[in-house]
Amino acid sequence: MSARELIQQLVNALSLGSIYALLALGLSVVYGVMGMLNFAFGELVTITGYTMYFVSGGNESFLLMALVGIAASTVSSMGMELVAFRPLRRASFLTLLFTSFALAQIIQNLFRQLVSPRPKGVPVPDLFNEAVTIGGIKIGVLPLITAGVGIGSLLLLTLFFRRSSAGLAMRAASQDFVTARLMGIPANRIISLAFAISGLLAGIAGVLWVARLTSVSPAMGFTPLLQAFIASVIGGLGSLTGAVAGGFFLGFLEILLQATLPSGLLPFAQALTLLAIVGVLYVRPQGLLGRRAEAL
Amino acid sequence: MADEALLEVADLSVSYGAIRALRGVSLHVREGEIVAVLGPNGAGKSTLLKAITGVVRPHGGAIRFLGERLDGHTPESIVRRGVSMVPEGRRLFPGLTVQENLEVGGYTQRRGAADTREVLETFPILADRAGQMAGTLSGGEQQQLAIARSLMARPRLMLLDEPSLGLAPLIVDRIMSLLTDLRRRGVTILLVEQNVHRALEIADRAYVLAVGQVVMGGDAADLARTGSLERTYLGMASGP
Repeated sequence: MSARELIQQLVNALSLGSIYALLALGLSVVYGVMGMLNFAFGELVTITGYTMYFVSGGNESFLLMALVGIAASTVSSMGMELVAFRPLRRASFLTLLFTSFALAQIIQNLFRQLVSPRPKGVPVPDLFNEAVTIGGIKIGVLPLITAGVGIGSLLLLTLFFRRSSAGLAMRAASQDFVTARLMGIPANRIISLAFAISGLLAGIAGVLWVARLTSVSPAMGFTPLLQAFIASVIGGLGSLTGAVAGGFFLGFLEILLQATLPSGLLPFAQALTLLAIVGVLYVRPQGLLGRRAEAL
Repeated sequence: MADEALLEVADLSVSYGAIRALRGVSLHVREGEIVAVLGPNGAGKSTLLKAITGVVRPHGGAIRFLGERLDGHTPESIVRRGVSMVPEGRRLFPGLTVQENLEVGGYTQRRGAADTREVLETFPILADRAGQMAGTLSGGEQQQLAIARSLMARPRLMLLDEPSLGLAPLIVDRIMSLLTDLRRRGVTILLVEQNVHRALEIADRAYVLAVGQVVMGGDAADLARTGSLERTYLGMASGP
């Protein structure tokens, strides 16, 4: 691969990696605080996409579509918690898993019935299909924007977690929820905040996802959920930095395989990615940055 | 004023499903005291503290702090009233630094870094390690951090669940004199301990819990002097 191609693929990897990192973080934030895997997380991406579709009626600016989509995702996530998960706060892990799964099905079917089972196109600016030349290298505008927005969001979120008292409270709660309450951290508020952040991240990732796909469909949330889950596990379930690391790792791995596999093997790229994941987990079952179960 | 108890536990009963952990436990703590709760494993000592801090809900009896009911309230609201806990096993936040652990402890006080400076002056060892991850501290340092963290909430009543557990005797000495120091500064202390002798050395009064009930109570000095304490422990050990 030439240096030129390397740079192009690097941008692609950062772009895909940051989408996965956002998704993985969104899933992990709730897992860390509540100990539950939200199977309806992918549906937040679906909600973002369809909101953008609904708003795109006239000649609405993409930015407006994006912002409304993100807002819808954030509100929906907080709504999910209030309606479906808070009443079951003390239920077992499995019960919460099934509840979230049921919620996912309900949302999917709502879109299937109320809109259409078929994909709907979402208009994106022509700019996204163009390329700019930087230092003599042609780089796609969309990957650049995606990487920029993705990494920028992650940096802002890191600032929030490290510098604000709410962020500190959330980190404490995700490490030891009961003890955090013994310090006076309000359980309900922290969980709502976690779901809000989860929805925000799903929304941003959803916008970037739809910008690539340029269409929405009722079951579109499945792949983002799967990638988020894989990235979280590979980074170390429960670790927020792990989620981000896992997301970039997955993105880089996918781009690497796409770029280097001989054309005959390209259909197996996904399978090979997953095989590589299995390999990593075999050597390090707790994930790249995960902590082995420990007692203090 | 001196007669009115800071903390009053009246006929408290707590069960975990079919297991009755506490059966009609009554005790009280007056302001400025160090009260020890002793007893063998499984006696219900930790359950008692969990009930006071709102982690578990009693199904009978009452807990009053400064005259107001504590039972039925959330742990976070109980901390705001001035009851702070140093949990069994310290339960520090492993992924946070010493400084951050302290800041979390001060969550209800809403002030921030300035307050931690004050507490760190009392714990110079911790001040040196302010930027270190809590999980990397030694056992004694962790216990100090757990106590310092609890102090950040400016409690009127501090509960400690087996602070000497897993610590070398010399370190236990230090922790115990730290508690005496805290009492001098106006913090009332309820101490659950396995280490009977050390606890009785610093406590004013003590209760002995066995199988969920108070079996003995009185002045710490009296309990330490008479042989009845050993008899009670030995009696429990050889009992059914």
